[in-house]
Amino acid sequence: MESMIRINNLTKFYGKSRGIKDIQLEIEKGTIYGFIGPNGAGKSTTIKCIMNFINKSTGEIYVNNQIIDNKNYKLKEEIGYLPSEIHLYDNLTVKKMLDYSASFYKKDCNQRKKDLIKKLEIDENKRIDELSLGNLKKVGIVLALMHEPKVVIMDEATSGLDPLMQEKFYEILEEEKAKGTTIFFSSHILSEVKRICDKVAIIKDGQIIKIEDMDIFDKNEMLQVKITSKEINEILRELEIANIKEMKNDEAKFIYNGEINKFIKTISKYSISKLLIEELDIEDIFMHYYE
Amino acid sequence: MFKREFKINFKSLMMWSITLLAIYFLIFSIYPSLINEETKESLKLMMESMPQEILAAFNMDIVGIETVFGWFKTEGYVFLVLLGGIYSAILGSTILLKEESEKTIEFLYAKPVSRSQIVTSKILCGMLNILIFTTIITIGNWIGLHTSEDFDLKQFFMISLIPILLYNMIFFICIFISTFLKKTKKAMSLGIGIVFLSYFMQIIGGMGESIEWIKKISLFEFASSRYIVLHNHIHMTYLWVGIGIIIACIIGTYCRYEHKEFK
Repeated sequence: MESMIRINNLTKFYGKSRGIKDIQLEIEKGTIYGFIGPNGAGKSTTIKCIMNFINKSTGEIYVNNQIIDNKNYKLKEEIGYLPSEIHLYDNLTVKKMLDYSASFYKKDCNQRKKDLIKKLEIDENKRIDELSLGNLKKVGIVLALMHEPKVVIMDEATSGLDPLMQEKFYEILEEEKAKGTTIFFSSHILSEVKRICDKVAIIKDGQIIKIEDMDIFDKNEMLQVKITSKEINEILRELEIANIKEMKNDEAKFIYNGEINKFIKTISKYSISKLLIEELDIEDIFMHYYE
Repeated sequence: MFKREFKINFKSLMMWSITLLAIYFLIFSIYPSLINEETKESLKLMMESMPQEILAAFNMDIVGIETVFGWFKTEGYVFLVLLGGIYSAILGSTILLKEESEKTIEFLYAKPVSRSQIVTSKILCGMLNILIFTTIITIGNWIGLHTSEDFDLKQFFMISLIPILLYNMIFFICIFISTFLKKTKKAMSLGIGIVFLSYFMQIIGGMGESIEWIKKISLFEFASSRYIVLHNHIHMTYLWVGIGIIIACIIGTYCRYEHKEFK
């Protein structure tokens, strides 16, 4: 598969403090690539480096096989960007704002703009400073997609959108994906990442700690186990559990990702007074990585 | 980009120009009625009682203020360059930095436009604003002054147009300073501070020979009407040094902006 975004050894230091370190990503054409991590992990720094808002300390970023730097500004013709907070010119109407944005591109953006306006139910005659947060986000979505970019970078894309609009937004993303657009999707909302992304990278403390295909979460074998037993310490030792989430008297809560038969054989040797086994949901899986 | 920038700044340009013109027209219309034989005599007495240094600071030792053109060459000119200087400082401090301060720069940076294109459109727009400002004031002043009995067209145009050098210097110094800052409020205070500091340096430096060097390094000396009144031509050294400072600030602005980080 052709790679549309390639990030090699990207490092950014703010003075002496760390921003991101040795980020390595390869994003294939036509995929929606999730990017998640706790606050301050380096998601926005990575995005700002891709958009060339800030200078990299080391590393290279390629979009459509062209390097991103100040000289190669024309590459932005092929990139759409949706920031987490939208800041536009307050005194313009939505129509004028969209026309101004279109004036930067060589192509005719009218058709796609009209489609998106209709789909997102945007009132073009309103002034930017009259828009609610959600409506501003909708304008941001049109601005990011109206020039039919090959790559779209989205940071907290659905914040401010009501559930109905979120659905429409997911539909738009599916349309874009079907057209072959590559989408880099940074989000805090894990359920939406699971729903729309094909792959996900997890960033923590400025470094990528895991890259997974989303289907791994469907066939994941991680279990959350809660056992109450007088012999709890022996059980934990025999199961070689390192990550105990809670321990209270004879009760232990932990994540088990080993072989299931071994688990059953082991616990059958002990006297168990209470046993609860649950499949981990996406939140738990990510929390497991974050911790 | 240029068109949009011009539209944004047009309101402020008109406000500054019209306010300044209104003040001048008010003075031009009432000044002749204030001057008669009696007031001329009391003006003369007042001037004689004032220290020579103070008179020199306002050019009143070389120009009489019995006519409205005389007033323009002294107090009127000080008023013009001071207000024009403040206007240029505000323009320079905000024209580039406003986008960052209001975070709309994120929108511009996401477009297929280079950073130098952004700087160029802002600089050209600022220069055009200064040119229009000076033209409006010059035409307005010509209408108000050309009937004055001692009106000298060549001197009037030199005095009216030399502030363009000063305004551009202030504008480009402020733009350059703004590339080191994040917020327009700070840049504006600093810009206006520089204008007032320069103004007082010129006034104080004009009060005595031993402190004349203070005056020579003031930005206002680059648009000194005193030299024009005395020699009837522009001080060429100041003109070239002024242009040099402008070019240095332009180069500095492009270099700084090319590597500036938007966090």
